[in-house]
Amino acid sequence: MNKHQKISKINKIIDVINVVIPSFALDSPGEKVFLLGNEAIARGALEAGVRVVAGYPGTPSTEIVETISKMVHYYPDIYVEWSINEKVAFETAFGGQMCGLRSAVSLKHVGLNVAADPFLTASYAGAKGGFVILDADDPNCYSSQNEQDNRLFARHALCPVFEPLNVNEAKEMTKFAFDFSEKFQTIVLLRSTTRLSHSRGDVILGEIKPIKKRGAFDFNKERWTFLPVNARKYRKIMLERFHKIENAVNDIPFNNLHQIDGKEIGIIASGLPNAYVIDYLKDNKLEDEISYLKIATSYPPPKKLIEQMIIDLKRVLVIEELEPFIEDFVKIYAKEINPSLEVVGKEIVPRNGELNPQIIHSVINKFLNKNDLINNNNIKFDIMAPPRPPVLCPGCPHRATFYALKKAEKRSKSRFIYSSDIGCYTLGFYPPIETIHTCLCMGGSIGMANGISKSGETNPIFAILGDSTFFHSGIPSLANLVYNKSKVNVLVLDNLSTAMTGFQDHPGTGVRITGEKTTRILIENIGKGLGVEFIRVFDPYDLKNSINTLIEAINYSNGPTLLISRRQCSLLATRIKKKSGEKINIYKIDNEKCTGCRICTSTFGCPAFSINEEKNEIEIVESMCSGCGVCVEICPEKAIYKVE
Amino acid sequence: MLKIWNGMFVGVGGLGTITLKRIFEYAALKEPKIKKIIGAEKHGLAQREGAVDVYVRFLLSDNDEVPKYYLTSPTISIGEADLVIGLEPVEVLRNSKYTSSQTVFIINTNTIQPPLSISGQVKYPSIEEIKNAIKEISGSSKIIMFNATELAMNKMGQALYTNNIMLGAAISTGAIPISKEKIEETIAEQLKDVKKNLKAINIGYNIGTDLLSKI
Repeated sequence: MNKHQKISKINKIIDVINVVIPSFALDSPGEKVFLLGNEAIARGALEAGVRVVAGYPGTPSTEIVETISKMVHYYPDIYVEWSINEKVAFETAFGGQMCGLRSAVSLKHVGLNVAADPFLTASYAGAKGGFVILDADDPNCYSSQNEQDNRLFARHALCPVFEPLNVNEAKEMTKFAFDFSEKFQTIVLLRSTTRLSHSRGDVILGEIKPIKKRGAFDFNKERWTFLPVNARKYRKIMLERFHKIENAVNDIPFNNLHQIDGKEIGIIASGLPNAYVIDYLKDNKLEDEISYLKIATSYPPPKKLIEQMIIDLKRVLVIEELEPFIEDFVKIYAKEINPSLEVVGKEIVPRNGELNPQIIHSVINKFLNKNDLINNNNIKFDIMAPPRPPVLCPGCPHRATFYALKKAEKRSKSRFIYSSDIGCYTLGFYPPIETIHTCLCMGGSIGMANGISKSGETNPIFAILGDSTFFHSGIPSLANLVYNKSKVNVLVLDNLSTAMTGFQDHPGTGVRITGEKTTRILIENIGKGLGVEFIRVFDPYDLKNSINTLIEAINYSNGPTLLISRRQCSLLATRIKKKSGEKINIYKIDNEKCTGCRICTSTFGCPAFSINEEKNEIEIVESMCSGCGVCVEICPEKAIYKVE
Repeated sequence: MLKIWNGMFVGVGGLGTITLKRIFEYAALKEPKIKKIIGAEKHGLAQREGAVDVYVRFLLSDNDEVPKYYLTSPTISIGEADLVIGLEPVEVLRNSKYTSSQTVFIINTNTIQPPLSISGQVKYPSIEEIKNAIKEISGSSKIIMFNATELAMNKMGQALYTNNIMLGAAISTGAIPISKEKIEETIAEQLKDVKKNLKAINIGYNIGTDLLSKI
């Protein structure tokens, strides 16, 4: 059987659960394949013989664990899970390495905040079996609440940071990170960014290391038990270990110094922005004019290489995304060996947002005192493209819930406070919905609502969060509400999926990452167990009942309420319907009845509505409509009807 | 001789921009003169009916030896796009700084109004205004615009085939450094309903040829 026959056979066997094994899961060293950055990282982990993998979905990191979960069908010894949050995921992977197994946790930058507690102490113990944090940062906050730079976080934990510049290097460095981790008994953080995780490029496959079948717990209990006496001891061990690492990074092949003798200027770049610098230097034929240091181990930085480069320079430009991390080190090193060196960095390289070829072009030109690119996009035309922020999808059950909330708010003659959370529903912030007043961090809605409820505020307070978010970190805060007798209405928008990151399962769906069935945990049962007395489950597509339930909840005065608006994500539901050949209902507008009040477009705001400018009529775009039928209820003229 | 080719595909989340990109990438793997493929896409929050811009970049060479590090950036710079496929017209306008007089445009005139336009807060420009602006900003004469969605509905009965009609039109301009046969082969391997998708390619190819001859 050749490779493709093999895969096709396995895919047939597991077809029942809708998993397709990626062809790059097989061991065929030397083969060139074309992969997404996150797939390359997954492949790197596979080549390193990873055995325990845990994570929590979060853009831009999600596909790492997803890809590994598909490989599991071919490598049944690998254990992979979606944990309920990043803290648990970190601890799970840490447990794996305690048994001498190569282990990884995958998370997005803010996910490491959730895992900060175990991380900062686990780093003392280091890693026995090889432990890599597969981290993806999000400069420009494409899908995040902030753009924190996790290199700083790793520095806090004295944890080495590896930053690949392209997809192939992402694979190579992931593999290398496991070897490095085991060799130096340290945790390693592999830092990707949105641009790398979601770019595609060629990858040369390497050999897959045998995956250990069984681990055995290491009974060296001093190393794992952080009583003060052990912590003091391991703090010293960590510092010694780190000293060795500081020397070792100078010899790592991914760092590369291209020194041009007799030239007085140089460029240092870290991570992905190296890609822009390399292309710039080649396009402008400056490769042999400027000394250039490509840094792949941003922490600890390769001190010897930096010193070797800057000792004879007059000026150096440091290019990196977000914080002046390498720049600060360069300034410190220059003070010792070349105090007159001019270090240029964040005064011309933006400290916010993502870098790109155009910015790098401008920055290097500025550094070299050359003219900048001419931007042909003049302002007059920019104004003409109306902004298009992401919005809730057609048929989204969240929109229906939000519409019910607004109706209930109007009826109650008060102003509702919407303390909210991280998920698709945060898009309810935008007009015309505007039922989001706060969004801070995963699970933060309930805690903030608790504080607001104790501040003398008399308006009804809602804490709005999703199902996956509830399991992630909503449960302790709900217990806190009960315990402190807080009058908060906790509204769980249960769309039976971790929808925003691409429909991952969670404890509320009763299905594991591999498709295997497991115990389904019902949110209402958790509420009961925690002692919430007022619990209601409702279908948001039934607007009338939803509004009544919300009104009933705000009138309930004896402690917190738990409201669960349950309806499967419409994208997922439509996908399942299409697959099974089920008919999708078609809705139309009767223009005889329509008075043009525009409640459908200005209050409800489903993107399936469109305005026909010629006829000055509203129409439903059939290719976008999910057939949910909620708009039938919101139209005061009863002008929307189902096509039979 | 090393040559970089840049494709920029823009649209709205859910229109299939990434699938279109994937067809280009898989087809490029079949083309011997394409030595390196790289590209960037958007996932997650940004996808939900929001503006989507993706890039696919090829390194073309007649020799087998190409530098290890070149064409490393997954995104492109001002004026560098060789081909723009706009699945939604206003999105082309939004990204027009990446185009030049050398750029070939294939633009679907079927509009998807953003919520701010539907609720009347921001005006959605007319197709004529969009066309004029793109022409002026890029300086390109090869701007092919037609309603591919309508064509897909009328000729294929489903809007699903819109993107392959656009792709067919793009092939007809000669702006893609991959042969029509290799793209068709890729579609046969990667998509379902092969016959219908190939028919869509031909519909697009014919309309593209026709519109190009009228420029």
